[in-house]
Amino acid sequence: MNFIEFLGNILSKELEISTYAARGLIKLSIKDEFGPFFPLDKITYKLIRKVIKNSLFFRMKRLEVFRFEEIRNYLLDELVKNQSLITFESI
Amino acid sequence: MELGILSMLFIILTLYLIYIVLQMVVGIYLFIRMRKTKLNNILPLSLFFIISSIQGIMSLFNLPVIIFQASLFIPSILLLIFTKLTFFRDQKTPFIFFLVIMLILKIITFLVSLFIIPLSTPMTAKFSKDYVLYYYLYLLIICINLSIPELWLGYSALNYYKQVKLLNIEPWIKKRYLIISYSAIILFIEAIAYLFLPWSSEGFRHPQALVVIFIVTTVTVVFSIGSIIGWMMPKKLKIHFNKGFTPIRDEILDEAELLKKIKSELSKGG
Repeated sequence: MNFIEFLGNILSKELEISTYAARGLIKLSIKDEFGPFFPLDKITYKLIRKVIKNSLFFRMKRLEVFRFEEIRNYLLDELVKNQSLITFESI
Repeated sequence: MELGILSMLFIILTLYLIYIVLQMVVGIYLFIRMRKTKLNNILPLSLFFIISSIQGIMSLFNLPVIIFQASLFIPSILLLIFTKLTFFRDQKTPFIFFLVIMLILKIITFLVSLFIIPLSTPMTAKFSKDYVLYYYLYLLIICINLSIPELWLGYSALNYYKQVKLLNIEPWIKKRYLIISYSAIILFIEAIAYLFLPWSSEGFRHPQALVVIFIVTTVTVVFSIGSIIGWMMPKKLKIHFNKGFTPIRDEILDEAELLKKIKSELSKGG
């Protein structure tokens, strides 16, 4: 969960919304991608990358977020830089 | 054999057995966690511990040097793969360069052991002084092949710790980075110690070899304890590290309410 919170903080700054709303947006995107029963503590690097590339991207697009492509790319960069956090919090 | 040497050997053997058990425990634990979390990048780390432990058991028996030689650097390569998969996926890194260097060095020592002189640490076979250069080259190769993955993991974990130490992340996770980095860096002492093994066929009866092997064993036990604490951190220790940290508790909203909140905040801000 730390990683989703971490990513939520980045997204909240980019979208200028609360961290709660940003985390919510990420969780909704995970739900879109893997269904409502997907356990958040089972997220892996590949899965979260898929979420950012697909469902989060389309959610931002649907919400008419300004610079949604740029934000997606920024999130992907941050994911690459901070990927070890997923392992270090899950073991 | 002198009593002093015998008691030293007893201490080394005890430490070595502790090391074998600890490595196996961490390896199996990580394997189970890998299956549960589906984090496949943990597999090389799990195998690193398990194979190191099996090698430890193998070295207790008088197996042919060549069998030991064939498996010698497998754990180091697994540690290198773990670091790449955990810290640097989709990033440009010196991984391939490190891997090629390690494999070339491995092939050299394997061929030398097979065709020229059966190398071991410490040396037990009797050979003329003409081969002394091969021996020290072998020690240097051991040192390089151990140092590369240990320092890469240690540096990567320490570097990331420095980046996140002020962020709002559970403190026990930050401590895990610190423990893993320090235990990997400490292991570098082991690599350096090998360089001081004497050219002597006396094996463990040579006082200098005994001291070096004692240092190597002690360092590997410290590394194993660090790995146990780092990777298998007990709940009580996590709670202790998390003292003063308030975890985020999200209020539960249904999807429609959450979307309404997101839209309303977006219209104000973004």
